[in-house]
This record gives sequence, structure tokens and C-alpha cells, in this order.
Amino acid sequence: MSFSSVSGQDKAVEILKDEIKNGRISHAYLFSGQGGLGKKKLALEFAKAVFCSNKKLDSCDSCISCRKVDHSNHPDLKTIVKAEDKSAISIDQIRELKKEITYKPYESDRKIYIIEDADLMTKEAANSLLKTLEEPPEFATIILLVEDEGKLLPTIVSRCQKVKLTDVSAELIKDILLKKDLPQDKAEILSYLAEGSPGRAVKFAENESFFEKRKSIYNFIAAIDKKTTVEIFSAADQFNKLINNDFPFFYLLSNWYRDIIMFKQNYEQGVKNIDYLDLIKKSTDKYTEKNIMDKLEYIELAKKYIDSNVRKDLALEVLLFKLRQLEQK
Amino acid sequence: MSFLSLYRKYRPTKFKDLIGQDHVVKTLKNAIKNDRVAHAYLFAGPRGTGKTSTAKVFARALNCAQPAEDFEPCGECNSCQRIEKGNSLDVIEIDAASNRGIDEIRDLREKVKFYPGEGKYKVYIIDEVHMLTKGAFNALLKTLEEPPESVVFILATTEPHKVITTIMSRCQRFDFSLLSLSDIKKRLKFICQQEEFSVEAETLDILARNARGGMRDGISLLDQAISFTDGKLTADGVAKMLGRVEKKELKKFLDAVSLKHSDQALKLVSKIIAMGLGIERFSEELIEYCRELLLIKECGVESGILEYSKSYLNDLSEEASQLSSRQLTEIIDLFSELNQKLKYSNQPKLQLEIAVIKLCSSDNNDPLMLAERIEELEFQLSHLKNSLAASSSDKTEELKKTKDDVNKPHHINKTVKNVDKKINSADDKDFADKDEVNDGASERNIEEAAPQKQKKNTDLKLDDIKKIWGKVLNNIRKTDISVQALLREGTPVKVNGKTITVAFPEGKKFHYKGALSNSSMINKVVRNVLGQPVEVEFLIYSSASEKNNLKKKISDNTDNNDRKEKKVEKEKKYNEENTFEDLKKLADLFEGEIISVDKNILEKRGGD
Repeated sequence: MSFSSVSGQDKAVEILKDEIKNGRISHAYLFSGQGGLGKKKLALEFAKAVFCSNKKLDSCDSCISCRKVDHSNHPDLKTIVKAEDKSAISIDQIRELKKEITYKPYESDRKIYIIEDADLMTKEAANSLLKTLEEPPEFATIILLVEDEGKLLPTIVSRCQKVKLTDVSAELIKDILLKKDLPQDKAEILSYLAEGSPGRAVKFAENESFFEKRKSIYNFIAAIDKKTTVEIFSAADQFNKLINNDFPFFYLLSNWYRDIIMFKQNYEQGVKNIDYLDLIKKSTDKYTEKNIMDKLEYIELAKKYIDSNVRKDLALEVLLFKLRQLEQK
Repeated sequence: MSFLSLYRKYRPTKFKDLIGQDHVVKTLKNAIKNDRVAHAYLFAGPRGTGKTSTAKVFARALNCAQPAEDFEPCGECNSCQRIEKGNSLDVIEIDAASNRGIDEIRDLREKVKFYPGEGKYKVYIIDEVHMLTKGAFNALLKTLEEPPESVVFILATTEPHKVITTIMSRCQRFDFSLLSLSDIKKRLKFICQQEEFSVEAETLDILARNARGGMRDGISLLDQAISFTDGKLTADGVAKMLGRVEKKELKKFLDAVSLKHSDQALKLVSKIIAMGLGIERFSEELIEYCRELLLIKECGVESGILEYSKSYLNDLSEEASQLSSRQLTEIIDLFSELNQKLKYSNQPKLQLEIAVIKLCSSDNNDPLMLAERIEELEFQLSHLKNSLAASSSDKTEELKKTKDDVNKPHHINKTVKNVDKKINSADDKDFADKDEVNDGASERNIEEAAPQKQKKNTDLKLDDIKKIWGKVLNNIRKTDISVQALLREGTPVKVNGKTITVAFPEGKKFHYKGALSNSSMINKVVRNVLGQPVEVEFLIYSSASEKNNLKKKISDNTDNNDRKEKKVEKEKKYNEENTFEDLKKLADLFEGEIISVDKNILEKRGGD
């Protein structure tokens, strides 16, 4: 694997390689960038390169330490994630880290801690990390992964070296998808739809019926003003199933309206659903900006409700009715 | 020893290394010099301003065996060495954010009483003290106030407002301010020299500015820059590393916004975001930039309020002249709101795009247009006033009469009677029906009775008034919330021509009087809502008397008669064994008479 497996992040990789080369590995890093760019992968690759026994800048992928990282049982590498049944990283997890971090590394000469979704740390947890983050033992490195550094305490950010992961260009995403044997046209569409995140594109591509489902959603939404109440109920039911299967329903839905509004602003390059351009063009004159923004607000609201454990079917039904109502205005 | 981050390597070890906090250093030195070391200090200030460093240096200076002339710690004696390594017995650094419970503080209290091992003082440095729990804070109070003689507490925090006041008042408080640009530059230059990197003045400028007043930010940026540019610290390379939205980009963005070119603005935003800058960060940077523009606009280039080079300030003021203060504040408002939304949103980029579109499409923000609209409104208002005055002049007679009635508080019932008189013209049947209703509902009775009469003589109906009453209350609330509270107790009960009668229950005399004294304001609002010249009059009704009068159809009874009636009524209503002894006594005491007894009030007070 090695660093080359993280595509589209050349600058970040170069910085990290330089750090290894110059022996300037810092005690705290902050990797930031939107989801699906490969922050976790980069952190793991970095750890691998640091631990690797054949002291080169990149990992060899064959020595025992590299293999241990690959199998995530390297004793000197710890990853901290939020517990599944919790909504945040708790102070106890950080206390545990602080206790452990003082022990000397077992196999290599460094210890690396990765904190995923560092913005999920509670206020207490983040504060209790401060002292350790500033002065960990000399052999320890803490890597924080976060989508937006603005979500962290400024006191945390100022203690870290920042490594920014940039959005990946649509062409590169397309290449990645083509390598995964996706047909040209689909790869093209997905590369726009993924908003610069290869992880997201791959996730979409792995879902075999992605395009079919997407089509059914868009066909429904485009003609929602003519749908009867019964049709809306059955659609809500169908969408509910999609959401339960972890299908990015809301993402696609809000992108539909987003595209219309982008088109309204004469910003055609901004449109993501390039295969639906004609339909979008047709819809453009039907709505005012205000109308679309209201719809987007309702979609956001419905998503929020579902996230806070409101019944999915109810939230969806209400959303669809609201959309139809706005449409008929 | 392995590689150490520069900001750790160059942590100040002497007072003279502490930069930009002269007031603190001087006070602390003098305290040592005059042997007036306090037992508790609180260091407060933003990140990277030297709180913890100062605490460490101070602890060292207190315990140093051979301090220099100016009380600098020597750095060589046993105690200094141990403190530096962090294994001194006498300097105890506590991370209050992880040891934040009451048990840890209890433990600390136990140990406080032991004498210092080798030095003169035992120093407790409690860092991030704002994270202590409430219990822990309070457990610390006594110890903090009167610790053993040789103990010094130093509390450090970035959020002093979270420290309870009782802790605050026991400490000497020092506020650390953000460092000036030149201070940071000086220090960065010093570090570069020590590390033997050559660096241009321009690079230092960029780094120092991005540190935003925090020394640690500055040094860790330098560290990062060294890694990024492989030791060649050029301005270009550093700017690239920061990947920060350059002011140029922000300027372009604002230009597009002011020209309402939403497509260009959107394109720019997506380009900036693709460079890896978080959306929240972008919005913060934009707010910061708008703030600078606003400051320069309001205060002028010469004010020195912003610490930038002259040429840059001129650029800023040029850009500022493109936008009005209103536009700038609007941008700041919109993006602050966006920042709030981003915390919960699942599609932050979409939120950002919507904000940009909103910014470009809002057309009310042209101040000229706004002024025009205000002018038009004013014209309409004066027009309205004139027409109102004309139509209400013929009502003055009536108004006067109403006022006379109302202004006799000791004859409130007279007013009621006036109403009765008017009501009397209605059918008898109505009142017969009402007899069967309990007296608590009499308010409703009047309301029911009134509209039936209204049909005959006017176009304004009580129902209409009731419908708009909520709106009236709302509008009054906007002008004066207290008046709304007063008026809420009353109900419109009758409409006669252009006169609306609002009745208050007997127990609400205070509200009645208040409404009366604000009648002109209430009139205005009602007129506005109805769009026609009407008068509002107020009265108080007593539930018992009202009913009585209605039943007997007495129109010109004397007051005496009235009272008798009520007594009879009362005794009939409330059981005869209930004689209200207490109330009678009370009435005697005041040499008055009991007119009626409100059962509800009695019950509420829970007694007889």
C-alpha cells in the first residue's frame, strides 16, 4: 500500500515524508478535510512509515511491523473512536489515553495515537487532552482527525501541526472509479456527485442499484406536484427503506434542489447531477429562489429530526407533503 | 533527546524571555523583591500568551537557590534543574481539566500542609482551572483563602468567566493580553537565528500575522513552515503552506457579492473550499475580514486600530469604500448565523452556498432604496393621521361623555349601569336565558348578548373586534409590553357605533386604571388595526351586580338599593351558613360595607 494509496493528497504526503526524513516528527498533528478524503488512511500510512523497520521514507508493506499495522494489531498504534452506543468521545477515553501514553513503546521507538472525529470529543474530554497534547512523552505522537478545524477548541488547534487534505478533482475521482471497473458514463456522473471526496464516490459506486434508486427518487421529486396522497405515502415508505439501507437519500434530495438553484444563478458548472441537466433546466423557471430555499430548509429539518430519533416514516411523510405543498403554491 | 517541537524547546525559562506581558513580569518580580508574595494568583488570557510559562518561571524564581540580581532564576541550581525536568517535589503542576473532581482537590488539600522539600515555597500550578467542577471549586475555597504559609497557588485559565467569583476574589488576578505583531516577529526571528534558518522579513510578517496574537500559534506555524518548505523559509512557500484564504480571494468574493454576481461568488467559494480550508474556517475568515473593513471604514486609516503596514491599510480602506457599513454588517450577520447552523448541518457546503446566494439576492440592502421606502411610509402615515383627525372630530361629544363616566372611580357601578341601559334595549328573552347560567360565566353572557344588538345599528361587530383583539394585543406589545399585560385582563364586551367597550373583572381594578391612563396609546393601536376612527372605553364590571341588574332590569336604582340587592344575591349564592365573619370584621375596620364577595378570590387565597 504505502503513501501512494492515498490519492490526490500529494502535498500532505510530501509534508509527512519530509517530517520523517528530517527527523522532525512532531508530537501533535491535526489532519483536516471533508469526509472521504482519506484522513484515516493517511494517518495509518504515516504510522506505518514511521514504524517500518527498513528505515525508508515510505513503508515497505512486507516487514512484520507494516503487516501488524495493516492488521491493526500493532501495539504502539492506538486509535480512539467514539464508542458505538455513544454520541461523543468521553473524558474517560481520553483519561485512558493519558494513562497509557506514559508507557514506553513496545516494539518501535515511537508511539502513535490517532483520534478519529476529534470534534466529537466532549468539552471536558477536549480540555483534559490539552496538557497531554502540549507535552506528551518525547516518544509519543497524537494525530487528530477532523473535518473542520473550526469545530475544535482554539487551544487544541494551536498545539498541533496542521496538515490539510484538499478536495480531489473530479478527473482524479473519475480515474479512481474507472480503475474499479465502473463504466465511463457512470464514473463521470459520480465524479461530480461526490463533491471532491473519493471516499464518497467509491461508496456510491459500490451500491449496485445506486443509479436506479437515484432515478426513482428524482423522477418522483420532479413530478411531486402531480402526485396523489396515496402515492406520497407509498413513496415515503419506499424512501424509508432506502434510508434504512444507508442510502444517501437526503444527500441526493437536497442536491436536486441545489442544482436547480445553481442553475438559476447561471452557474452551470456548479450543477452536480449532470445527467439530469435537461430536467433541471426545465424546472428552473417553475420556482422562485425563496421557494427552493424553503424546501432545502425542510429537508435539513427532516434530517435533523431523524437524527434525533423522530420516527423516520413520519418525518419523511411530513417532508414530502411539505414539498408538495410548496410546489403547488 | 529526540526532536522537540519548537514551541516546547523555546518555552521561556527566564523572566526576560517572557514577551509582551511586562506588567505581569514587573509585578511578580517586585513581589519577590519586597517579599510580598501572595498565596494565590490567577493568570487569565487567550491561548499562547504565556500563562503557563509565566507560572513556571515564577515558580522557579521563588525557589531558586542563587537568584540573579534582578531575581531571574539561575537555571543551574539544584532546584531550577529539577523544576525544569518536572520532577521537583515543591512545584506541582496539576492539570485541572483531567483532575477536575472534588476527590482530586481533597487529595490536594491533604498534601498542602506538608512543608516544602528543598526550596522556600511549595508552588501549585493548576492549569486549565476553568474545567474544575463546581464541587471542586468550592472544596478549594478554604484552602485557597488560608493556605499554609509557604504555599503559593497559581491558577491558569483561558476562560476566567467560568471561574466562580469566590475563587476570583481570593486571588491576585493577572490578565494576559494577545501579543502584538512586532513582539511575535521578534521572537520568531530569535528562534530562527538560534535554529540557523535564514528568514525574510516578509515571511516573518506572514507567520506573525497568522498567529493572531498567540505566541504558540506563531512558533508552531514556524515549525510547520520549516517542514513544509524544507528549511527554505520563503514568503511564497509559507503562504502556500498556510493555504489560508488569501485576502485577495476574499476581496474578489466581496466584489462579486457587491455586484450581485452570484455565479462568480459561488465559483470562488467552491475553489477556496476545494483548497482544503474548512467551511467553518472560511466563514470565520470572512467575518474577520469584514470586521477589519468595518473598523477601517468607521475609524479611518490613521486610527492605528489595526496593526498592519501602511500600504496594506490603504488597500483595506480602498476595499472598504466599495461596500457600505450596512452591507458589511449584513455579511457578518449572515455568516455568524451560518456558523451556528454549520454545527448541526449534515451538508455544510450546501449551507454555505445558500448563504452566498442569500447574500447576492437580497435586494433590500441598498440604503438609498431603504430611505425612499421610509419616506413613502412617512407620507402614508401622515395622510392616515389627517383622515383620522377629520373623522374623529364629530365624535368628540361622545368621547367626552364616556370620559366623564369613566372618571368616577367611586361610582364604578354607574358606568356599569350605563352599559346596562344600553343593553336593556335588547330582548327580554336573552336575559331570561342568562339567569340559568352560573355567575362566573356572566362575562361570557355579556359577550353573547352584545353582538345581537350590534347587528341593528352599526357595521362594526363585536365578533370582528374579538377576532382582531389578539392582533391588537400583539401590536400593543410591540410598543409597550406592560400595557399589553394590563389590557390582557380585559375583554371587549360591546361595540356601539365607533365606541368599543372593554370590560375588566372587578378584581382587576389595577389593570383597569392602568389601561385608562394609557388609553390614548391603546386607541391609536386599535385604530391602526381596524383602519377606522374608533374610541375605546374601559369599565369595570362586578359579576354579581351585573347579573343582578340584568335580571331586574333596573335602570335607575340608587346605589343603596344596588348594594342591598347584592347582599341578597350573595347570601343566596354562597351557602347561608357561610357568613364571612372575617370579611365583615375587615369591613368594620375600614368603616365600609361588603358589596360583593368573589368566591374565586377567596378560594385562591385558601381561606375564609
